[in-house]
Amino acid sequence: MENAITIRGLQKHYKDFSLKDVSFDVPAGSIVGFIGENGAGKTTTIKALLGIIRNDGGSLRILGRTPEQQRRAPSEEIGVVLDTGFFFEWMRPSDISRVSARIRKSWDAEYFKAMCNRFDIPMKKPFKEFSKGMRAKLRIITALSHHPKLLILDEPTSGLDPVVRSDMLDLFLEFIQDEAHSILLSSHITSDLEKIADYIVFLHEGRIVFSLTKDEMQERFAVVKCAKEEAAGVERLGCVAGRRDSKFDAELLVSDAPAVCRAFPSMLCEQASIDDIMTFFAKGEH
Amino acid sequence: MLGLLLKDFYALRTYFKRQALVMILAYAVLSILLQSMSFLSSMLVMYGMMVYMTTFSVDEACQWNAYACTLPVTPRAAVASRLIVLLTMIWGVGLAATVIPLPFQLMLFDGSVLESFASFAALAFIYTVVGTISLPVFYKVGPERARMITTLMFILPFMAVIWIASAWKAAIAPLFDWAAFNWPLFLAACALFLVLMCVGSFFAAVRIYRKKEF
Repeated sequence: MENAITIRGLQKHYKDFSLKDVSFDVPAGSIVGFIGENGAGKTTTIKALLGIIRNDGGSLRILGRTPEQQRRAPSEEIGVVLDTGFFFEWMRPSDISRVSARIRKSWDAEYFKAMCNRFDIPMKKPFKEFSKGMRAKLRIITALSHHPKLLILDEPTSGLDPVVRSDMLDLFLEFIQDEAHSILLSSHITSDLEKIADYIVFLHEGRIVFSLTKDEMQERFAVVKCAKEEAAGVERLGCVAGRRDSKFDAELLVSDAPAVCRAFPSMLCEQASIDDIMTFFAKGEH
Repeated sequence: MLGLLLKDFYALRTYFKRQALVMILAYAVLSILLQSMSFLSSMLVMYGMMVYMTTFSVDEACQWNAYACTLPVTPRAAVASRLIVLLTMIWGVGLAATVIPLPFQLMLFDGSVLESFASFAALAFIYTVVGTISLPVFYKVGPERARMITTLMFILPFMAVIWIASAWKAAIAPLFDWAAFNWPLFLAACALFLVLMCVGSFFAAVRIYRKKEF
């Protein structure tokens, strides 16, 4: 399968943070959930991919183009929602459409208007008077209204209520019906990714922890609850990715659930959610 | 590029309206008090410079430049649109503000057409020079620091000219024979200088914009 995005060995160094050897793909026709705690490097990775910042090492391709090519002449085939950065607060959706129509050759003003109607976005109201939900919807609609092939979304549903989030997820699923379309979706709201993502890429402290299909991830990762004495036996299998101890018991995040279940058939082994995985890595001992 | 200009216009529309009202009121009162309308172009050229600087602050406030990197907007188009804002706000607005009140000035108060145009051109020249120097500075250091640097670019030469004119008046005066002064050549040289400033400023700003991380 052709990749919409290929990242190999991405490095970016700041004084107090580094992206180290980040590698993953976004296969064409898929939704890739990009997860990680705040400050893990998700936005930095996205910015490097788009050429907004320069990488210090590695090779990146976005629809076959390097970030440098993307920066010099950004592609019409990419739609982006950044966690910051958009039109000025005083602008109205009708203004945004007029401006975008002159910036993008493929801007579809009718589609934009129809989507604004569908999601109750008033065309004549300034952006500054919009609720958080309306702002998020407008950003996503704007990213979709030139019919891109690839959507890159950085926390697009952050702070939205479940009803609006559900609307947005439906929109992403509609978009992905075309097999040539792909989405890289960075989000903290892991329940959304569990619903729609085909792949999960987990970034922790600037490093990729895993890049797996959602099914593989659900098959491999499990939370094992056991007594502390039993935990040592599980650890000897070499697949413990995280551990949390309470007074008497231990909770282990294991990355090879079938092996643990085979070795300890009586042990309680629950499928790990994305939340479990993130929490263990962010807070647990590992 | 038209899209970028339109974006600046829409973003500053409210600011334009509020400022225009204040300017009209202030101008009407001052015209009556001073018995002159000739200072309108000076005021509006200064206002144009403020609008130009505000466009950078507006972009910073909504982090437009990062978003613009994801749009089919080349660095050349981004910089060229800002240069057009500068030139339009200084020369376009200033010229309109010189021509429109001229009949009223001549009818109601004393004054000369040449003097009005000369004062507008001199001021627009200075503002354009400062504006073109400040264009790459805005991209390099951001609007907050660039505003301060631009203000200093106005104040320091102004103070230097005042000091030279007062302290060295006697020594300088004989150097200028205004009657024999070659005005056409001087104006052509000024125009050429401005063109070179615009071209240099454009390429310097594009170079900075290309390398800048947003």
